[in-house]
Amino acid sequence: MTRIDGRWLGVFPALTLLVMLVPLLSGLWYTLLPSFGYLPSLGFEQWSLQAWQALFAHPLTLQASGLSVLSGVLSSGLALISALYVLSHCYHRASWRWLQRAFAPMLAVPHVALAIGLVFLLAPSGWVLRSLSPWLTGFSYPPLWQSVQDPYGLSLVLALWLKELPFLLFMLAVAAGQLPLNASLAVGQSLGYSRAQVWWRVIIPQLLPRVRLPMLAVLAFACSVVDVAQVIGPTKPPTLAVLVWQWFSHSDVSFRLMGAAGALWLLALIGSVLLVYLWLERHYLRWSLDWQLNGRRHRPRSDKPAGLLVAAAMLLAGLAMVVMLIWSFAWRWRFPDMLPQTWQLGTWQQAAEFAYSPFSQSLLLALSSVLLSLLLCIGCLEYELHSDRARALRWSKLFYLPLLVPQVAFLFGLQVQLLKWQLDGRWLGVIWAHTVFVLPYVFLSLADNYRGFDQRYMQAAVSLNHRPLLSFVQIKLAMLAKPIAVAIAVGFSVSIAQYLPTLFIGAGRFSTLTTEAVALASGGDRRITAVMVILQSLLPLLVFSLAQLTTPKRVFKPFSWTFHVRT
Amino acid sequence: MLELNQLSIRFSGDARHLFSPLSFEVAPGEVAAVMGPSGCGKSTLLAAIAGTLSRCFTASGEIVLNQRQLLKLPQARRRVGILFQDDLLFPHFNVEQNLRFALGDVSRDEAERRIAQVLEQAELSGYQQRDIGHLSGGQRARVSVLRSLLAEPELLLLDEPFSKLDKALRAQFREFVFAQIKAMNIPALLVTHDHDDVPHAAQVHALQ
Repeated sequence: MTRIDGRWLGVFPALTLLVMLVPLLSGLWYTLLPSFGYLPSLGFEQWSLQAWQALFAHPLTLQASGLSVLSGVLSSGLALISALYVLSHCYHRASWRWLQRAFAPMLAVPHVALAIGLVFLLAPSGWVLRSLSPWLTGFSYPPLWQSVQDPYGLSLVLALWLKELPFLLFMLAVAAGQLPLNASLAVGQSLGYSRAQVWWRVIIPQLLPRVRLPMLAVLAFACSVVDVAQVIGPTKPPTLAVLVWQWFSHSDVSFRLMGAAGALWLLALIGSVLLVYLWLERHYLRWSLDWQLNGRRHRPRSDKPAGLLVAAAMLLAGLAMVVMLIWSFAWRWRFPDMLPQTWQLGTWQQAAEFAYSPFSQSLLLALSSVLLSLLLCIGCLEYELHSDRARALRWSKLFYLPLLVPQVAFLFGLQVQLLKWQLDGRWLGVIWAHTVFVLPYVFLSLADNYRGFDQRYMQAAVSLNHRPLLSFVQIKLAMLAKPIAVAIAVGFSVSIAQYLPTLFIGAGRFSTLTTEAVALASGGDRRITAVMVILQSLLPLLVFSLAQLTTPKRVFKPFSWTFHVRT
Repeated sequence: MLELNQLSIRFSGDARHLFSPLSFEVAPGEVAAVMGPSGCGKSTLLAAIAGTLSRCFTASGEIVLNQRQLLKLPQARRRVGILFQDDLLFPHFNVEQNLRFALGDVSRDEAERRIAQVLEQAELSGYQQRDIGHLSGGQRARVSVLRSLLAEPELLLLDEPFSKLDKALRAQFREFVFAQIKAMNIPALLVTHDHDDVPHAAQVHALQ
């Protein structure tokens, strides 16, 4: 890896930009054209504004738009505020290690698994009401309540909040680790402020710009998510993303034009939401300055509310998983019984049949998209070392773009594009679509550690064995084994959770654990749904646990072995 | 024999040089010193000789090591060893594995014999299986030197390798390094800003 043979690495950023931006841009382009009536592959060649007119004349559009924006903004906002609140009371306190360990599995579990778990818990026939009936409520049949899929989207907000809270907490903790935290806390507290006050007045204003990207991704995701909203969101009308998805998959193909217009409308809405957030974040410091400097000292407030908040979130998530487990072993389980009357292993025994294909397809898609992403990311990061750092940094920001654009806004167009290249419904196309969403997260979780590697280790290694490539594997990759393993786990869980890319680009020929779980959640057999969701959650959990066990030493255990590879 | 011939370095796309062109020779077994305040380009000079110069810089002139022109060669083919301020022992390897990494393609028995031999010279007999994290600073520094020399470099570059050690250890370690260089009979180039580190009667070049 010397100056002389470093230039060819430029292939990687070029290839990565191609892999990331071609689907995004061509996807948007082929969504834009149909929205103006042009979709020759289905016989529409007449330019018109009809799709747009139909979109805004549609009775559900406005309400669905409001639901999308409100549920997205509310859940992300609440998640950010509660994450900051928890952080200000728990970070690096006695409870912190425990809290981190308890929240870690929630990062790995797919959004939709948690949502289905919440449905099993909170629905009128769910576990909560079962445990209260009939002794308290008097119900011997599930009531006709809308405790999930409520028309205001509150259960959707709850599901999104529950999943984004650990994510934001984790991202904030990483950002806080880069600040001189102990010094700030010591200085602030010596001036008479309480610990939490120092957090809110001094540390959080510095943290917000550092979690800008994760926060924007959370906002864009929450406003445009389809699978979670289908499972636990309102139905009449659904959120805009779900409505658009229904139009795209409508049996009358002319709905696709309106779908395209709706997708772009959603893009515009989310764009505005993101701009408003950026504007707020930018001015927050100035607006809150008076308050930050008002000099009021509080006595330390109780940590209990923060603890309660965390406990409630964990209880909810934990119960959601437990009820799933019970269902997977249940045979007969009538309302309002707390536990099944009869148990069985049958569902799991049959799983080998009904879950084999989705399981293996999930696994294959995840492994191939993660390996591809990892290869590209390492190539790009290695190239940075041999090029103008500042310029490379600017370019690599583009990798995050697909996280800020709603999936439904460009996947339809991408499908049109891949149809032309005859890649739709094929492995390569679906792997590519997954990679578009996996790569940003792999890059995000790997980049800091990779850039922080002391390159002198490589110089020392090459001066010793004169083999750049071997040194790269035995020294650099081995020393970075842990961050690489974590990046693999992150990418893996992202791929497992993908819903729309598998459906759109797979052209219905691919079924993964996630697509099956979502399909079953609306009225399918609860036992089979439970098995599907458990498998869907276990896979990423397993990979995360393996990543936690990885150390450089374990990677190179059969050490003398590796040297015999030298010829 | 190392020869520098009108060697100078400049920022790519900038006519000014970091220091005025250098020309001198270092004989086998000899340690030459390059001195100057921090920021004068000492480490950049070493990077140019080692072959790890960043793309921001362009080197001109000649570096000749035993009749080989180094500037056009990639790092892997220069046979130039480096000792840094930090020992840079690979943390995921133990002592023996670190040393083994520097050895060429030799049999397992031969490797074990040579590693035992050099460890004995450094008064580290029996340290083969020690974890790097469990060595003292002085021990790590010595293993690091042994590792550089096991790769049989034709030139050793010393990038302030003594500056992080405490005073008592420092003199001792310095003598160890110079003795090893003498025994190997290779030229060595030391950059430092501390006169104490320069061996007696060594040629000293100031960067300016």
